[in-house]
Amino acid sequence: MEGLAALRQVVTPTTSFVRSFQPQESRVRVGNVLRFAPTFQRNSSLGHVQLDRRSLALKVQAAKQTFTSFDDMIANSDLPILVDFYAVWCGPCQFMDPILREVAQEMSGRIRTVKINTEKYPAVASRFGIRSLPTFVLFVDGRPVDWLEGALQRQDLIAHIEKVLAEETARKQNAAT
Amino acid sequence: MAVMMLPQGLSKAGGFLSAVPDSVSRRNNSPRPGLVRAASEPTEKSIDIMRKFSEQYARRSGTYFCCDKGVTSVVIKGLAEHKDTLGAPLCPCRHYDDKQAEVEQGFWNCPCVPMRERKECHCMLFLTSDNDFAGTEQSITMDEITELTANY
Repeated sequence: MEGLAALRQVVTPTTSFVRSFQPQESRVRVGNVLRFAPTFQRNSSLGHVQLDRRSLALKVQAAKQTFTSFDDMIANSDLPILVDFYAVWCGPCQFMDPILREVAQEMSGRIRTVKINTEKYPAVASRFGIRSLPTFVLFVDGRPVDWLEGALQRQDLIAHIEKVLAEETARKQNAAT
Repeated sequence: MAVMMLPQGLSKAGGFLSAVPDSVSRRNNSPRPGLVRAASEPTEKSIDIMRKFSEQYARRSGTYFCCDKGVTSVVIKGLAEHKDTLGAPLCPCRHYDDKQAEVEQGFWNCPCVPMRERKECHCMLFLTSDNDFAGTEQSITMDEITELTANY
């Protein structure tokens, strides 16, 4: 679960993130995501750049902030990530919450799990075309490879993930040969 | 209505305010310092209205509530929350690009078109008897709702 905690630091904005990330409107675009990635690294050596941006005193839009950190998290993850798009008052989403914890525990070291509150981060949800909630998207090597909608039982979710991971491994092997 | 809208509206205003990190918004804008809320709460009146609607519609459509009444409670609260903030009970188990436009369009206003046409409720609020998750009840009390959603 420590992987999940580390990712939560990236996904959930904290005060220190807010202070150090001051994007200029014109430069925050989907395509330019990677340009801002360095500012999220805690041991970043771009101190002088951060001072510059801090003095701009622009209001931080957390939606854009987590936009780039979400991409950063997906792109830089060593393990496949299961992203759960949910809403607080969505019944099946809350039903899946303990199930997701169990799955994270059972498959720790093989996948990471992340929950995205679609009401707090609507831009991210809209970008991936999320409609029905809950939706589970499995990212492998920075690409979304699987899409699951609705609630399901723990065994079924694990079996489904295993199947997708096996298919991905087979596909990579075939591509390599 | 405008006065009643304000407390809920403030936390959901255009998505911007809700997108500001909680630590920042609560320090600067919170009208009630010290009160920490995970999500905005619907009014009790709306919850009761949606509760009665759910019971009536379940009876009328011959469907049943989920065997886990917690799911039913959360959905009823979600419907009430949308009724408070948008004026209509928009389906709480969907993501929308523009909620107001969806309310006006009406497809996803509860009871939504898929439910009315095919008894398909992906919120797990109204379940046909052949559904794995279906319970045997078509009623739920306010106490049940309050109790089962105490942690949200």
